[in-house]
Amino acid sequence: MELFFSIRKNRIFMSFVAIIFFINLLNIIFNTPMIADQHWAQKIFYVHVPSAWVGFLSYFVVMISGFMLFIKNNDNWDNLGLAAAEIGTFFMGIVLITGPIWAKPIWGTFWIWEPRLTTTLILFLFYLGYFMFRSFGGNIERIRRQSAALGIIAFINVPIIFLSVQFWEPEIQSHPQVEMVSQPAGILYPFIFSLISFTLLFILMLRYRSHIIKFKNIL
Amino acid sequence: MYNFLNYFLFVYVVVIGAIIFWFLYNIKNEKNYFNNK
Repeated sequence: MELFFSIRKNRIFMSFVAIIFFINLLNIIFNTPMIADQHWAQKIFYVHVPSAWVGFLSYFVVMISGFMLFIKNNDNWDNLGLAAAEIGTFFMGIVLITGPIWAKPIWGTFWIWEPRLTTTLILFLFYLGYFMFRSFGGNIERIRRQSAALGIIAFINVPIIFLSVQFWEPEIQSHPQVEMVSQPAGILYPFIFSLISFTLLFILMLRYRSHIIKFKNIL
Repeated sequence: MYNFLNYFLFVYVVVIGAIIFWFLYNIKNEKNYFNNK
């Protein structure tokens, strides 16, 4: 097997993602409108929401590869599932760090035990449990199947987070309930660009990480 | 009040730093496996 970046195609993709990401950051800093009462704090939104989106997408990949492992019983699906779970948790970590940085100036506090924040934290802890479970050791075949099942069960939390702003009563909600489609073009287009650049980064990271896990399993 | 230095730069450093750290960590990891092959 070769090193991931010794393959030319991957190097080109990596440079492409880096350029897109750089343009995205410049776009966020210079090209997005200032919101009157939030000013620079609002711009965290262009990083926070795409990270959450990529995290959920990643956990979706975990669920799909869990199902595929049961159907096909091929180890590659387990590698992909583990890689996606790691990257999902990485991005959920970014969401849980950038959220409080925004919340401090706007709410006056870093954290509120509010439905969306609480369910997101639960999802993050679910996957920490997933990694703990995998590292406990034991029969490798059994761990693969059980962690696939765990990945499928943990995904149930994602639609709950998504709908949490409607699920619970409005009195206990603090998280902004933004309808993206109704946003002005000045906010919507940079947001979509940010979403695309984070998704491309996710694809690169997923390919790289599953390559390494495959490498590790061959040894 | 809510200026660039206090808010956005902080997020910028955290996110970009985390992503760069992730890549460096994985490059190191991969090289280790490669050398032990």
